[in-house]
Amino acid sequence: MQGRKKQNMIELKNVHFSYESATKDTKLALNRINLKISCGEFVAVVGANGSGKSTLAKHLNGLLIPTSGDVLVLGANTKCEEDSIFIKKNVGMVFQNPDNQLVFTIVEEDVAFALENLGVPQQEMRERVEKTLSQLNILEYKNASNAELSGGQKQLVAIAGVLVINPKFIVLDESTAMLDPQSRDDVMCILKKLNSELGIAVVLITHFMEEAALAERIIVMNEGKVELDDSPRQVFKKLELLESIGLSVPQVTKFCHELNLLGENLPLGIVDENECAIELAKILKGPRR
Amino acid sequence: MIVYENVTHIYNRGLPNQQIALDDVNLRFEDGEFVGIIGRTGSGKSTLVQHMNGLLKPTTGRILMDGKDVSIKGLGINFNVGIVLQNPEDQIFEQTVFKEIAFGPQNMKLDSGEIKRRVAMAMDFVGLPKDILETSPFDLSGGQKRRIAIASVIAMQPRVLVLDEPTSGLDSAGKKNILQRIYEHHKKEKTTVVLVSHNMEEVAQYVERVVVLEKAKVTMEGKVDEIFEKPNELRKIGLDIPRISVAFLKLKELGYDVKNVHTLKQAKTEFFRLKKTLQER
Repeated sequence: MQGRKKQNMIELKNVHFSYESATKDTKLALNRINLKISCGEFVAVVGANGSGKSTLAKHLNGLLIPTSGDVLVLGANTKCEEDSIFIKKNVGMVFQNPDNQLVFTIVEEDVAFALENLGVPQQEMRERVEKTLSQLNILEYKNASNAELSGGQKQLVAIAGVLVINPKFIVLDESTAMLDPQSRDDVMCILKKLNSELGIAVVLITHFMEEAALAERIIVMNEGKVELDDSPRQVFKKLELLESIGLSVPQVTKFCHELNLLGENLPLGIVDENECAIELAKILKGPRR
Repeated sequence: MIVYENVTHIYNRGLPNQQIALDDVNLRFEDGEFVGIIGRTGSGKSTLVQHMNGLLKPTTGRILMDGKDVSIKGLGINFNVGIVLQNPEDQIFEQTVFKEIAFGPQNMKLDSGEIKRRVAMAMDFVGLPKDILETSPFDLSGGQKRRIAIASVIAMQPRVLVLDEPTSGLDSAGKKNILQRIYEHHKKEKTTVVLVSHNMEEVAQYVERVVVLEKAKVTMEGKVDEIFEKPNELRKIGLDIPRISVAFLKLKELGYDVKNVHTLKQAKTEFFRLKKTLQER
């Protein structure tokens, strides 16, 4: 970390990445990515399967190292081995499949794992684990064995295991894919709270456009490149582009768009049900006289 | 027809962490139906469907397929019911994609020509490229593993197709394609489909009948439109209704006389009906 400038962001500079492959076509999983994600941001990353969004996520805490280019986490280069712990402490990762993330059999032990490694005192550890579990509404499973939990419950435990170390960034790689709507809302609420109250930056890789719509900023990946990087409203205005690269838009956005094509005059990029209803009401009332 | 009679399933029975996953469930699945199963995580959905081909056996009660108890059959392998598990990694184990998808047909003792035909058909069904036949399924992306898991069940051409959250991890285009294919397959072959899903928009679009599970019990059952007519009950147990339904409920709150809608198609029809009525006034 010698001589490194203090920065409050993750910066990707000209990042290229290809998975080593025995076959001759080494397709670039990431192709010249330049991005800045600042502390305190709430960013969603969307893209079709194989667009590179998971690969991008794994670059944010040094799980993958760029083939060329640099990733700087708060100024520390992920290529630099000595900074590895610093980076992993500041950028927590939650994966798609909780079975790959959970190591212990009992929920409480699993959530405490990182704290134990960091040498947090027993009493504080207990308190932090309990607080995190109750934030995620899974305190009742504290003494349960992971094997008894359903997929969604396991994912909540995995999220707890990362939240408990209070990282500056938390990266969720399709971590809500297996949750029911209520748990998904709960997790989104908690992520929003962590973001607004504690200033933790959230990078949410997701297939759910309704979830992405709740972010401040959406990065759209396509074939290893950044296709769009804008506010949800601006991104969802580009419905045709999104659909052409295997993505969709929230259901109400789609509805308003289709009505537009049928000659109704509705603003594009509506993502909120309330706003949709209000705009529909305006049309039904007819033009103001 | 599959009938669940007073089915109870208890994990870790008699141990301190005993857990009732299904509590006296009575259900009936008619041939050729498209049924959706919804409920919060942990409500017992996966446990429920894994009983359908004897993968899990009831602690008490029984499951009858065409009048025969499915758990009595010695080997418990039932080619009539194909289950795609929630996590594709739980069912993938072979060295190559071909072997993986051919595993079921091979066990059905089909000849090699028919096996090849079935594998090709199944790969086409889920949209997998042919050039990955000799690749290890473990080297593929999550979305492709998901497709392989579905293909390996489709290859057996089961009479009953059970899909436990089959589209989680797939992108929007993939979701739509696979569900559309399954829907067409169901229409054409009269296959019974049981879909466990958290995606209410999917459920509204494809499913005929919905079973709602809550804390190990069946608490609601009915035609899809009837179930989504009860948004408050659904919300109370942590479930949702399609976003378009939410928007139309808000429109109702704003004083418009709109019917509840659950799909985009219904929403369009209802919007133009309402517009016309208001203009005629």
